[in-house]
Amino acid sequence: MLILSRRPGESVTLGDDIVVTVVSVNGNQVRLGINAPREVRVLRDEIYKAIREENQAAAKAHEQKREMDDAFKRLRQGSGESTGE
Amino acid sequence: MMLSNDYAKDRGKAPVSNYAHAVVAGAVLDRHLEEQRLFFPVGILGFPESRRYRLEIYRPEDGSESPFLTLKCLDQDLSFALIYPRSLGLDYRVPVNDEMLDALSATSAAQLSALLIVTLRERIKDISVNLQGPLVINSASSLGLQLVVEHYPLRYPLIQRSAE
Repeated sequence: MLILSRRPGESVTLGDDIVVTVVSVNGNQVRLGINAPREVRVLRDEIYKAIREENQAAAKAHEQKREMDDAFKRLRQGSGESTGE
Repeated sequence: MMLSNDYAKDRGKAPVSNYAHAVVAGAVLDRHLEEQRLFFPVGILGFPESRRYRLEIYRPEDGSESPFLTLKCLDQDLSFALIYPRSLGLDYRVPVNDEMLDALSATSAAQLSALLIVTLRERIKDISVNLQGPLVINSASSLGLQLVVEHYPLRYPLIQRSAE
């Protein structure tokens, strides 16, 4: 990991298009401003990791149809309530 | 994509309202259309290279109706089970800003639909729906994005059991 020190108002440029600026520091909290092209998703790291992990858990491969058939059958049997509209 | 609204304020400019619009789930698939090809310009989180997909209504093997859809990737062996928010009886709103509309080639949030990824698990009570990372789709342009709506839960149980 590259470690740099910055003071409020100073910035770090990533590549040619992304600029991270330290806006202010208050105690142990740093306020960051991010300027990036719209195709670059900017997220708090823990949020990004949580969603990525959930996407990975949800992602299936070729057995998708069979898993869905199986889950749907179980849903119909196991639950007295309907899952649909 | 700007993260902090205060950034503009601290720079002496008037703060911009990032979210002037809202998305309410519409219907992407006309029930008479079997499938729709979609393109996700930046993929979905964790799968940035997987961009081309086919969205289909899921038909259970016994021919019955289901509220599910499948999103099958054409770039790699990958597929997701999806559901419409309204199938869960949810008043679900995804705030979108102008940058998101642009990215989807939409001029208004009314042109967009939200679909939710279902995580299938062994026990049906563990099957959950991701409300925090909806797939937002413009069916006219066939473009899609996964957005992040932090105030919604990541794992919303599909089966809501009433008190027994």
